[in-house]
Amino acid sequence: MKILIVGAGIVGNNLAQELSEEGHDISIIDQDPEKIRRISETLDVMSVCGNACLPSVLVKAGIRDMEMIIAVANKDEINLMVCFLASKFKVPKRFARLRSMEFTGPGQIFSPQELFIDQAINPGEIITDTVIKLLQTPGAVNVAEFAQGKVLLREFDLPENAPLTGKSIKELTSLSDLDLILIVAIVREGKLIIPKPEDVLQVGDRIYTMVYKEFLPFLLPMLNKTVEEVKKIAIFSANRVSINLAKALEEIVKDVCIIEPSRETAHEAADELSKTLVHHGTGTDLDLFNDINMKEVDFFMALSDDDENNILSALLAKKYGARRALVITNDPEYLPILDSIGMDVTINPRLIVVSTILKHLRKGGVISVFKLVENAEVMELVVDADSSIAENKISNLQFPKDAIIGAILRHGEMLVPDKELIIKEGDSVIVVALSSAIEKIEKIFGRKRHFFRF
Amino acid sequence: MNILSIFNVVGILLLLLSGLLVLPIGISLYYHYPSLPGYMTETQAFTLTLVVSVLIGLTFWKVFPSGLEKLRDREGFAIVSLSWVFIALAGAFPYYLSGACPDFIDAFFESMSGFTTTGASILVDIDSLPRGILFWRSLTQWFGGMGIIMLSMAIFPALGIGSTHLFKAEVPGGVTVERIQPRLAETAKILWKTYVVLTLFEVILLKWGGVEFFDALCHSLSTVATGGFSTHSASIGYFDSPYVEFISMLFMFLGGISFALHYQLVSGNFRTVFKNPELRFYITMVFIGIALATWGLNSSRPDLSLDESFRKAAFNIVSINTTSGFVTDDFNVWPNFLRIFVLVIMMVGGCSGSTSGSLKVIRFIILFKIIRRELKKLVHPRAIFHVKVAGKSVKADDLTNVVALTCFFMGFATLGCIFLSLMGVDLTTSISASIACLFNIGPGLGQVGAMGNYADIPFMGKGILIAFMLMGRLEIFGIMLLFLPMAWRK
Repeated sequence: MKILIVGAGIVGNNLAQELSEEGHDISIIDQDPEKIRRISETLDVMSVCGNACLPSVLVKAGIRDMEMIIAVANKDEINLMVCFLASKFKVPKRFARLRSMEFTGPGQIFSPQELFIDQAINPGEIITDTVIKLLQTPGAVNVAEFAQGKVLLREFDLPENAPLTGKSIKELTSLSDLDLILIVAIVREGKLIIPKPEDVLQVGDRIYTMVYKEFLPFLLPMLNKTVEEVKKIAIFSANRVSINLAKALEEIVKDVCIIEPSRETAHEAADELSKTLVHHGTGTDLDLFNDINMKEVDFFMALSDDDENNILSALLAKKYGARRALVITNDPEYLPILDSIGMDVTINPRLIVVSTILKHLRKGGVISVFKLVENAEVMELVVDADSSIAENKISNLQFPKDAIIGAILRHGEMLVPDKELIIKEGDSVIVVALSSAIEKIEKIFGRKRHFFRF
Repeated sequence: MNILSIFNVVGILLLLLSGLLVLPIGISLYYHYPSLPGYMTETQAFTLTLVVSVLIGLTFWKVFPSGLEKLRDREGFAIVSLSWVFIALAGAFPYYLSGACPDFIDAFFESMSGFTTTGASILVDIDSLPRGILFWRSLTQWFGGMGIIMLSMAIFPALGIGSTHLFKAEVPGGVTVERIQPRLAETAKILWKTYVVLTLFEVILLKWGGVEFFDALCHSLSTVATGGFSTHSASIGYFDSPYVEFISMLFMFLGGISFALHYQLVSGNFRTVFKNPELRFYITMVFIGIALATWGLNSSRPDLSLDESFRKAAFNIVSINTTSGFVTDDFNVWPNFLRIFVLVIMMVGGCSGSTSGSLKVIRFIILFKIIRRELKKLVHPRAIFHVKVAGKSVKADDLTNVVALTCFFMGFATLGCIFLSLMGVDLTTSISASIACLFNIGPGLGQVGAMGNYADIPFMGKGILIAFMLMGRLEIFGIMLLFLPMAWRK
């Protein structure tokens, strides 16, 4: 398929890489010649330097033949304009990243569809959602949902005194009356592994569990997590995302404060927020930490656009008594070390946007995709009648060892992927797979990667 | 400062005033009162004033070059201030020529008190005055209430060019008032229409309650303007009718609300009106004031029943709070704590964009929030706090403006009090007279109390109070600007 990407920032770059590796023809437009140069050096894509709001530039990038456009430039205005022009060029599928809540939030005046956008992605909104879900699941460090929110994927740290610790995977089922939890992945020393029945859970592991929504309360004692109220939250840096997040948090948390290094931005934030306290200072200002009383902070969230500052300020905040820390990093290279330096939650907006776009991009078997870390995905696939696995026992499937079936949903009920279970047509199967196994999984499900066809 | 083009505009406004003078001529011809011994009749007095002001107005207008296109803020302030002085001067002549006020300073005082909607009077026996003069008193309040410049904007679209500067200088509440139409001339028209309709309503309601048409008209003019001039020495107390008191109270209350809000209400924007923080504060303040005064009166005056205390308290508190100055009871004899309370609410006044004088509720809200912010800053020295009204941050410049204006008001009130005492006026009178004039209320305490008047204030004292009334109406800055050397530099 021919895809045009507008904006060669982190997201555009990554999408271009991923999609071109999957065999699509990618064109990419950006105004910054430096970015264009780097892309043309590293990726096998067509790159055009210029203003994407100009029809001539779009034509130069070959928009007339494009089947899809993904607008991920850094300004909403550009993305809106590009999608509008693309609709004039009759590009059938149009994605846009829109950061402003104006277009995706409640109280929108025009829906994205009315503005010629088939699918609008607001990373800030997704981050806000994620953080609020995290607050609702104590101890969780990562959240995702499948089957319209019925199946929850939660990532937890494994503490020493948890009942699960020291047990092997096959022992788990006998441990509790919970038969609907399943550990689908373990992150150990920064590497993701698909657990085999004889693997033993160790202290310091991070586990991904798949749980039916209603059983979540029974899962928490297994991990020795009790519901702890979050009373005070400190957020580092005031940008669109953190202001929107603070607005949402104001409703549910008693004490929210923001630290912002730029006086001007701090004023803008104070202008917009009512209950949130906006402090002017850097994220590494210990005087300010003292003023905020970091010892009482339940959750420190470093949300600035600067990865290094985020990491440093979160480290300092934890040192000065913040109970948990959340860090946003745009550069995925940092992900492996973040665990080892004690960051409780890491969010990568890039992965979020990429997986959201991929989710909307893939069709056929795949309903939704969630990227765990760089090299692993959780996919929700629907079994078609003509698929090779329909009416087969799970044990009969030639399932690759670096992939695992997380859960099976049949008529809204979650079933445990028992060896004897027969997969039927219409089931949706949630699979966790390392990237090396993705191709095999797709073969098993009887199809290659499908994309929207029009 | 472009002094010549300022006089050009002043000339236009004097012509406008001449137009207004036609109305009392009509009244005086209709009632036809005899002249006072040694003076001309009121008809002659009005006509002479009219002719002279037309001549002066025409001369100013024709001789001085028009420079409206090049108006700056400073000229805007100067035009408004000088026009008000000239118009009040011209408006004083009917009183002087007809002999209602034999001293010119008294006539000027009465005229200024009228145009600034203060309602302070030097007249002792009001009931015996000819009706043209009485009508003129109320009429000056009515025009001064909404503003002479506002009227001229609505009538002469030509003034619209430099009008932003003029509008800023005249509308009560200054920076805090929002326009409701893209064009100021349209805004001015809408506000005036609302004003006229409100006044007509009151005339009808008063007439319906059995008040003579002339009284109903004059009282309506000065009630909606929150002025306070009555056609009787005993003010509204003359009628001794709960109905009349209620209607007057209602319209004073409405006059204390922003006319832009009235317009919103008529247009059906109930949400905007209901959410307005200033209106909420204003209503709360009036109710608390009434409750407090009722309790105070009832407990200190055993001869009054609860009903009577409530009736007196409600009317007088609303009248003082809206800076009208009508009275039904001598609050000079109220218990001391209530007298001080009355002085305090004088300084708050009604909403911005209304006809009321004083500091305005919005400025108090902002002041309270500034104080709270300062306290909060002590707790979190590095935090950034914004003063917000209705969820919107107030700009730092506007905050300092509010603080400076409050200091100006307080400072001048203090100065006035010192000067009056220096002239031998007693303490209560000098404190309350300077506050009552500077904040455009009218009646004060002591000698100038509800049942007294300003006749016995010394000559110089009257001069100071005249200046105070004008300063209060134009919210000081405009007048002070004229004394700033920087404003006159080329």
